Amino acid sequence: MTRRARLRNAALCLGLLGAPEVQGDPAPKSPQTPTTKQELRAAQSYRGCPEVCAQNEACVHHRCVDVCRPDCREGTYCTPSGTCEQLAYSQEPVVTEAEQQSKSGESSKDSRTLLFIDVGGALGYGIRTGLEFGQAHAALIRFQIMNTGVLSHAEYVENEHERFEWGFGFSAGYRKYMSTWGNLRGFYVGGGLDYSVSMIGSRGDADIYQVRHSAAPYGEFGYRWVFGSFALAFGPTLALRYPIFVGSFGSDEDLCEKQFDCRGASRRFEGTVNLEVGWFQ
Amino acid sequence: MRRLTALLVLLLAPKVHAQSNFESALLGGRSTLMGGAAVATGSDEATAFINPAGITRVPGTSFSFSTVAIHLASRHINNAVDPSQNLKVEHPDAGKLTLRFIPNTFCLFLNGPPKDDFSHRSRHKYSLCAASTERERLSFSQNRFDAEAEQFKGTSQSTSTEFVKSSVALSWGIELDRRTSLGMTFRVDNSRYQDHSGSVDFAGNTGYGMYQSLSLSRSAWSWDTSVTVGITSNISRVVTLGAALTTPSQHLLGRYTSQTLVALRTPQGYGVVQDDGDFRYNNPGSLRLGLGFSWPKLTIEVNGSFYGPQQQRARANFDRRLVAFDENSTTATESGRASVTEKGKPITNLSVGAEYFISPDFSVLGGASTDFSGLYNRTNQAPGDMLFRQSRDAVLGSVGLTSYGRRGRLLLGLQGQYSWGKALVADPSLVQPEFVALDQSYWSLAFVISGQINLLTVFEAAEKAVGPLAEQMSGSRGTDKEEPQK
Repeated sequence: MTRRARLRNAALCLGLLGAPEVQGDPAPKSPQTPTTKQELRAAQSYRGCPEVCAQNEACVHHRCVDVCRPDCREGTYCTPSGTCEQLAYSQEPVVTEAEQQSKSGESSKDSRTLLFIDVGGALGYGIRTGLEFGQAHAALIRFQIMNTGVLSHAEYVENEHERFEWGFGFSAGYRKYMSTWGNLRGFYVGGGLDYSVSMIGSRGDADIYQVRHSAAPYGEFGYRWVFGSFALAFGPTLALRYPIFVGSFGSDEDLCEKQFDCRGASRRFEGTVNLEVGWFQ
Repeated sequence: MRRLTALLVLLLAPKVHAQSNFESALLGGRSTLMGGAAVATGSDEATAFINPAGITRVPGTSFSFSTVAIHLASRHINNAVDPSQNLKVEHPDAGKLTLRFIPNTFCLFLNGPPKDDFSHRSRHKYSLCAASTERERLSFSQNRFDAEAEQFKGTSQSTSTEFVKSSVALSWGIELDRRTSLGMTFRVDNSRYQDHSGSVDFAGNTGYGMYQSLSLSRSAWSWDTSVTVGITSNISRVVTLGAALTTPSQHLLGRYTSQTLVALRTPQGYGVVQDDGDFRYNNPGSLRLGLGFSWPKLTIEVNGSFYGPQQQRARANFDRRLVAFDENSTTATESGRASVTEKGKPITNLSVGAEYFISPDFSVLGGASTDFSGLYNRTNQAPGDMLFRQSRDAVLGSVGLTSYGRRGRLLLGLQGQYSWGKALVADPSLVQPEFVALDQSYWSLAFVISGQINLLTVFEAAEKAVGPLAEQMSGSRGTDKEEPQK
């Protein structure tokens, strides 16, 4: 390959991908890597990809992926024919996510305990503190103060009879982590049970209160990034909340019918977002 | 006086009862032109709202400005000028042709942390999108006047109703492996509702006449949140499955203000009603399922969207003050707490779309979908008993062209819609003036323009443009420095 052609290919590579991301030694191609000219042409077609894949990419399962697999080692680039060639100039090495996570979490990757605060609860039903214990399989417990959540109060804003006084909740759950470069990090899926107690006051003059107990099986998924001993996780939680028990007390319980919506909380489908800030112990 | 007050209470007392077309919004260019089918193989802005797992397919760090459209629409309401046909005026129907420019969706897509071990592309993708996700406008203004000998009669009808729901969506998508992606969207919705209606019927002769009128003016807004989680998975090289679950929205805060004025057989009496309180508009919980088929030159997708029933699709909860005056200017007032509720109807919508590549960078798209209203059919309503003024079921069809390139893509197309349903129109000619449900039909044609720009190519172009200039400048600076040394 002439120097000019090589430079042209390098420019093509860079033009599409920004900085070429290279690491590792060239290795035998995986079974999905196109090898012959016909296979390469077919792979470069628009086989359901949302864009036309570049010359050094193949459309596999609707996504453009590199034809060099594994990626070319540092200082080389992937050519349209799927081979790794020396770069015309040096590039700063870019590590993979796995490498970055492994390096950044080096001191904590064997830790089994994480203490965290879910600050995302401020936009939900309250900030939660929790403790997580395990490796790829982990158990967690959380405690929630419902007064710190916007939704706890918003639920009763437009209700002429009721006012949120206070509430707390706790939950126990399980998470399965998919990563292989440390404990309690990377993509996770999980589920568990949440139990909450809240006290609702009457907006009327009567001194009447209701204590409402509810339980909610939940499911969640998310991703945790680790930076040394510091961790940041993000993901949604979906829950189906069932009322368990509603008790009224106060100076005149007979007024309940007039002052309260005595049906109590009904079953509801909840969606919240976790934003967990944590520290490995 | 008591009788008048009682009549007004009857007219304006809240009861229970219908704007909820979820598929008509132009959320993304490709999705719109594929009939809204984007749950499994969608790769544009609509995915942030429909199935966030799909944002992992959006190429690179990019900016999308779908959809800017020219929207031509026509609505026809039978007997709108004389709802109960008491006046027997000529040409009682009302129709209106409107032309509007609708900027609809803007999105910014960002790649996440460094690549994974199977692609240069990041596993993580984030997006921030803003869109108008529901929109309804009903407006007309008509006058009629008939005179015969010394007798005359007439009516004036004016209605302007607009409902707009704007949404901001924060999304995260992750490629679990080459085949499967997961995603979530945290969404904040702002719904705004304006309803202004004035209607008067009159009749008389040269010596005596009387009129009845009904006017309503109200303004409402609501902030709500919801979460959507979604998954897409390629079960073979050809077949892709997609599913997304959206929670019912959680109300944050809202406001409702309404004024109603009724004049009964004037000069017999007047009534004024003031409502102030909270308004909420809730998204229903929904499940969307998609099945996509991708061959080298053809992509086909079929979607089903299921929306659950709701006790409260919308609710106004307010303090109501009622003031009545009779012919002797005697007044009576009443006040209390009241609410008006719209129930949500469970619905299922189907959509199908196809994209055929004529060449690797050029394709034609087409699709069709249903868009049934999530509100129950409109029935005659007292003014104090009513929230939304219309409901309609729709069928949509679309066709367009796409040009793909390394720098992004551009879509042009047409989306047509035909819908039918009921609209509520004020009828002051009745003994108890009320809003009467009338048949309506509606069609629209939207010219869809959508684009996606890869921001990296923009930066490259900027670098190319600025590079020589920077070199020149540094060269000239170097010369300046060297000169003193000489």
